[in-house]
Amino acid sequence: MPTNEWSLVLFTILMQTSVGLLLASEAARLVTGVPRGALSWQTPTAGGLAAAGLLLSLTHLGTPAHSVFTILNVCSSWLSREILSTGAFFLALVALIALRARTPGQNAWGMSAVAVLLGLAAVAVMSRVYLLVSVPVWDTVATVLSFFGTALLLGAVVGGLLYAIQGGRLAPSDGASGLSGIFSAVAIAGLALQFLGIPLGLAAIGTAATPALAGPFALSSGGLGLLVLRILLIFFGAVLFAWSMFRPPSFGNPRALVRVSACALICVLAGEVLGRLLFYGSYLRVGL
Amino acid sequence: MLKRPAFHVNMSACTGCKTCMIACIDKHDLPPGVLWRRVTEYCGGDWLRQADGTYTQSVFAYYLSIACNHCENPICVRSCPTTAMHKDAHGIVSVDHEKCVGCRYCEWACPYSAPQYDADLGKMTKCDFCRDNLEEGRPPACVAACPNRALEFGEYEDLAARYGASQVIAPLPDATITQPNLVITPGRNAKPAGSHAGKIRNPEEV
Repeated sequence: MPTNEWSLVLFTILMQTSVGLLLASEAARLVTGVPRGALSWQTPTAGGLAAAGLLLSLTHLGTPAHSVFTILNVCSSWLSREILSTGAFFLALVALIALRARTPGQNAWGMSAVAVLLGLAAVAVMSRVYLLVSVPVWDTVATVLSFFGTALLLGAVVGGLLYAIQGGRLAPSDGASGLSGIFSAVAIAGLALQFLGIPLGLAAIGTAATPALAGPFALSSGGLGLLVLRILLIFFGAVLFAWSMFRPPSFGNPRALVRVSACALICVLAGEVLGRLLFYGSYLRVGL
Repeated sequence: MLKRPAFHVNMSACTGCKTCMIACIDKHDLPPGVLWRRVTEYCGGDWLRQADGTYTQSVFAYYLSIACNHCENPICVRSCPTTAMHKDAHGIVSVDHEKCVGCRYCEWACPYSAPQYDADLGKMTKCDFCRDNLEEGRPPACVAACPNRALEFGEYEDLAARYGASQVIAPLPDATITQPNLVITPGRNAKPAGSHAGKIRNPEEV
């Protein structure tokens, strides 16, 4: 099991969760027109996740002091573009948080749209970094689907959990069912992208040229077992999350609801971390 | 100095003694695990059943000594986020340690495993074609050390004119990815690029 890419696993997952969280919560804010304060934790949490991801990405570098040079090759290096796009997303997020903190109740839709668009662009560029012609196992649409799937699924589950923790279960007239519907729909869309990407990724591994060296971990029986575990975890987590969002009225204890949402997050997070470790473990380059 | 430096590998002459690897390590004082030149042992074959019920074998093996090919379209240079990996006016691809951030993206991308990470430095390192030797009119250490004269260096056009432009030997990758400045004289057992007939049998060494 490859474990030397932990910093990249955490960086990509945290950054994608941040983008998904912002997207889901802004969509909920826009569609349901929730009262002021009902979704006040989501944007700062997205900022915290992005900051943690960016800091963790430094631990991957052999000489972090030279990080300032990493945007010099933006004309041809997708890694330079990734650093620029994730940095721009983070700055837009900070600006959005500052705007809303300065004038509480203000939605700042303009900056919100900029942050969401920069976030989606960052996820696209992050996935493009791995579309290397010399690594055919990664050079497939499955990588893109997986990265966007992680963003939507984890972002929605984190957003929904925060909504539950806030205790702000709104009366139906305040758009509670609409909020639940948005978070659930985004999570299900993320799950659908993952389930679309998994068979495509497996097909890419299957059709890759026979490795001259020993096959990667992802091709081994242990790797396939972990893949099955991953599928079960994200499926169970997403179903649990959707149920917690549309719980029966009799399930009225808010603390129990938080626990169920937290369980859903643990399952989805474990599945996504496992999936990302398997992704890095499937690295198989052509040539020597 | 050369303008388009290239290596020529005569597979028929190479016995896999790895003197070139050792000479490179010695010349550049490379730490354990960092190999700017590697000699791969590519082997394959099986027992084959004949029509009369007897068996014969198709076992083959050959060596391939490969360093950085200072490619015309180097994927390491295209990928490097800092521009530390660069190709200079003499056609040599090298790492500027004043810029290298040690992200290892070039290592992921290069299909020849040319960029090598030095954990002590926290930076990438790679074959620089023994630039200091070239400047003094001497050959690269690997070429000078080869006891069988299986390695040669020179301008790519000269070597290609003399030996042909063959670069399509397993387990080398498709040459169109990076356009390597490498000329190979295949041995009699050489398999074409993309062949699945063999495997690298000394992965711990390369």
